[in-house]
Amino acid sequence: MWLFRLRWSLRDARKRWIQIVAIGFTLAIGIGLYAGLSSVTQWRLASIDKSLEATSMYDLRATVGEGGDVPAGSLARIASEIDGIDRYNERLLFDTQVETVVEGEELLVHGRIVGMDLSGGEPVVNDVYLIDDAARPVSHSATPQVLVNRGFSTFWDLPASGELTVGGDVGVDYVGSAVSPEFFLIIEGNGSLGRSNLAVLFAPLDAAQDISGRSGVVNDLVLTLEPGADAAAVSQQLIEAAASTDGVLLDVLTREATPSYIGLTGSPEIDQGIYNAISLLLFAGAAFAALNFSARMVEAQRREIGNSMAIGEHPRTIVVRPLLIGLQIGIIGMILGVAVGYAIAFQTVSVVQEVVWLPIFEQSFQAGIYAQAMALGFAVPVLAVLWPVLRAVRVRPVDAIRSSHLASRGGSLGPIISRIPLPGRSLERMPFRNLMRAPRRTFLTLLTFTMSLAIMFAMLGLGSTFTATLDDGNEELLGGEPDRFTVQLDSFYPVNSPQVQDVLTHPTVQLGEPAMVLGADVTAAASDDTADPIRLDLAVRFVDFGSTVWTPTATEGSLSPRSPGIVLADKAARDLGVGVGDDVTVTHPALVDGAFTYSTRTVGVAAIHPHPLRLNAYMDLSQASTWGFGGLANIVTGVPADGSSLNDVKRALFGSGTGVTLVQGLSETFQSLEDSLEQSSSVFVITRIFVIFLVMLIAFNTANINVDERSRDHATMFAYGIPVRRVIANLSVEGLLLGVVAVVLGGLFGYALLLWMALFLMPTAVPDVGMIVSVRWWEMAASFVVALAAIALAPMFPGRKLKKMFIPGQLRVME
Amino acid sequence: MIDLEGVTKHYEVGPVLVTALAGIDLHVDTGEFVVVLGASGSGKTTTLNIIGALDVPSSGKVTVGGRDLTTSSRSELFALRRETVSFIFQSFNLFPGLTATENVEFGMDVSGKSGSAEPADILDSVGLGHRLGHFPHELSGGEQQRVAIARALATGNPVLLADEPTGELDFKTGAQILELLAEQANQDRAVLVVTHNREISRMADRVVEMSSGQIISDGPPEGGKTPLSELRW
Ligand SMILES: Nc1ncnc2c1ncn2[C@@H]1O[C@H](COP(=O)(O)OP(=O)(O)OP(=O)(O)O)[C@@H](O)[C@H]1O
Ligand SMILES: [Mg+2]
Repeated sequence: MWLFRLRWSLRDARKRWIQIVAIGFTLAIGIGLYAGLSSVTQWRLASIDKSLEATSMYDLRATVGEGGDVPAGSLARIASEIDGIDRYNERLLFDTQVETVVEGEELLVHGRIVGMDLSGGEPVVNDVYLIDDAARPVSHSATPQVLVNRGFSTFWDLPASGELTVGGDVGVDYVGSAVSPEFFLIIEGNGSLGRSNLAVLFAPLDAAQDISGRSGVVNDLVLTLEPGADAAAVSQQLIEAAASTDGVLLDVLTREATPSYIGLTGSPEIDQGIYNAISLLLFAGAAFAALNFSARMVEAQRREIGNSMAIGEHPRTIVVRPLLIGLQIGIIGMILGVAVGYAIAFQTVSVVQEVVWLPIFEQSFQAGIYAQAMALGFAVPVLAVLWPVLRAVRVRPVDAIRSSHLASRGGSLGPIISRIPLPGRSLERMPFRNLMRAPRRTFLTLLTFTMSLAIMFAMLGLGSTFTATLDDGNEELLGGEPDRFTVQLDSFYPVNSPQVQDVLTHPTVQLGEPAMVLGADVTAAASDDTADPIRLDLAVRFVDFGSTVWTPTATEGSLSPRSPGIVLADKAARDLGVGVGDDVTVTHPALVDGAFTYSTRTVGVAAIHPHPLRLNAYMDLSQASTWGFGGLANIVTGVPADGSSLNDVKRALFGSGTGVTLVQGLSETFQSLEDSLEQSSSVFVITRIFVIFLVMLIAFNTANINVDERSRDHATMFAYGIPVRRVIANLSVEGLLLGVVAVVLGGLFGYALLLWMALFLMPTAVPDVGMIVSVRWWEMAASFVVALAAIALAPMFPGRKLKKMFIPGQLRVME
Repeated sequence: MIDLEGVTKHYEVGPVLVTALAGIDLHVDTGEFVVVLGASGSGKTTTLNIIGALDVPSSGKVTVGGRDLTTSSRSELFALRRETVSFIFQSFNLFPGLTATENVEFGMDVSGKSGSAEPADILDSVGLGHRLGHFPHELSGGEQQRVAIARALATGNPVLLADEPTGELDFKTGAQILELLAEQANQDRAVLVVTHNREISRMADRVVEMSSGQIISDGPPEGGKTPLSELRW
């Protein structure tokens, strides 16, 4: 008997295999997205650790403070005398500018030379990993040889080897690309330096010394600790020993406190949060669609279930046949799910590896994750089948064997709606009638479409939101000058000092303004009594609020020159829970009698500015004196003079040797974020493709099931001479009616979803950025039109089935 | 075998109350071949549905095979349908995905009679020996009807309910089917055949005539039981 049922079920399956596969595929998208993306996270987490180990990232890094250096060998000597240190290497690091020509365009970016042991002999701490077996730079070469950081060379598509100019006039040869653990991910300069605009060059120590003109010195020590060694004790000893022997102050940084390490190790989990949300959404949509369709497939068998009941078959065994269909869907969903998962995983990996390349990237099969996803994907169709079957065996058999549409009417709304008079001829009214005939079914289908369209809307919206956020941010900072730049000085200088004046009066610079930027710790004043108030590290810029060149825009409140208020970013204000007129407590460095201390004061919030970076806060330049920095500047802003380019300014000022550490276009404020957003948005691109696919599948399934459910209706219509295309047209109209409502609802829910993703989900990943929600309506309209077209065209596919229908056969079966 | 006492059935269609059965009493013993006559809408199918435990009466008492249907549990009703009654539907209710043989096989299997006879033989007895592997949509209305009959016969259940079993058949085939059903009564089954063909009723042991949900007469056919060969329609 079991064999009998299995055979019967396989016969069912052969008739409906397209539907079964299509529903299975719908589920597979949900399963695959979750399993694929989660696998990537596991791969990344495992690979990051392995990669850091393979390149021996430092446990501690000690840097000589204030730009100083010490003779080579002295840091090594200190290290050799301290217990708990395993291996150590001396290095010379310094910033410079790097120039090259990319496809005929000159590229001038901030650079960092890392002078270290590249001989390839003894393994070194914080080693480089050579890409594609690149040659090792040769020491003491006539033209210095270096390796370029892979992030930079791939971003700009540099040839495998070539020439670069550093520091304005030193030509170097790069012999290949490499990565090193500190620079797997690049986040520097408050996020303004990313892999695209920070060129890290690894050079043999002697070459680095030559380029910098500081022969025989080093300024940096990286070391690994012996197991169980106390990092704090070791750093303390390092600092003390350096102070006593070389008289220098060491800054010691642990691996865990290194920003790039934090970003690198934290990002997989942060991304996973986003992956989870997205795949949950898509899985919900896919599961719901699968649920709906499986349920409808069973619904179509209601009369048969009634028959079985009439001849006394036990409900337990009645369930078997539909359940087998559920199992088939589940199995197909699982198989395709793994395929989809792998496709998504590999696609994602290629993007992840593009942005943050790890020397070791393991892609082991994540059995646990797939098992989880597949169990879920399996349960959905099985439950989807059980539910309507159990409902069907509950009804009285006499109702079940009555003609099917009477039985599936359900609810009290149906009979009422179906009595509403409609205009037009009966054939034209048919699509409406069909929708109203079974309101519950219509509602479920509508919901399915709405859900997938909402997800599509949100995915598209997120893309435009990213763009808008970056664009709006730039617009706010640039004030109509695309080349507005900022010059960072290495210290605080009086405004009338040569360091500041040289920049202000430089022939390549116009509209220059000195300013101050200080890091400050800000909390809401009212939250003093709470145990753990939200504390933000902000960069407070003192700018002239009366300036005619540039001031921040006040979206709330106003800027008044000489007033003591602070201007916060909208995101910062929201996070702190303050508005214009509220007070914040600011803990900031203060200069008292020429010495730095910290002081705390209460400042009123004067205005809110729209820049998406939470970090940026502003105060009027006059207030710098109350913090003890009156008349001083550590940055200068300006725009290139007529006839000069931003590159001219960079070249001229950086090389001037007057305390300039960084010249940067303000449009690069978001650079590292922009570089890494590429990664998140690639996930959205993949998802978008699958969502569109999902919409099409749903449209296809709906049409297919409609045709199956109504084969007798259609046979009767054909028998009355109604042409096939008319029937298909009716199905299209029916789809479109639903589609239009789904577009409206999908738009509304999608917008809500977008707001949630942009304002609640994304901030968990990038808390520093206040997303500016923006929707490109033409893009939205276009994709909705595509979705509607898919819905309207979907009946064409089962249309073939209609054309081939054996009409007498259909009419004949009285079931 | 079958006992109906004061059975009524009402349907509420919106504000309208349709009385399908207005209180009927009916007793049928094993070995009886009873024909139920009546105009369309008189309540014949409803009566059969209630006897077959497909439907429940609005009031009254129904006993089939010694079991009180009005107080039986769901699973008892299922068991009754499996083991006591067999239905031949007015609209055949075959499984479209199963062949003629498989439909019969399935009926036997559900009633626990598989192996007791060959489905092919039963189909042969209704004149379908040459259409065994055909699906319902490949059969004529009358042929489908006969598969449905074969399915019911195959169960061997003591109560046989047939709703217009000859509606789709020509005289010759119809007569054969009726003969078959009459034979079932001889094998100690209670056979209830619904028809609105007065001629058929002449071959019954008993004719129950219904009108507007009531039994208006119950007794041997006018002119006594007539052999099949003397009927004409
Ligand atoms: N579900 C229902 N809802 C409302 N009225 C019903 C329902 N089922 C049956 N009826 C009504 O009950 C009455 C009896 O129906 P029944 O099917 O028993 O008639 P019948 O004698 O079998 O007729 P026919 O010879 O045409 O098959 C009819 O008037 C019918 O309209
Ligand atoms: Mg009837």
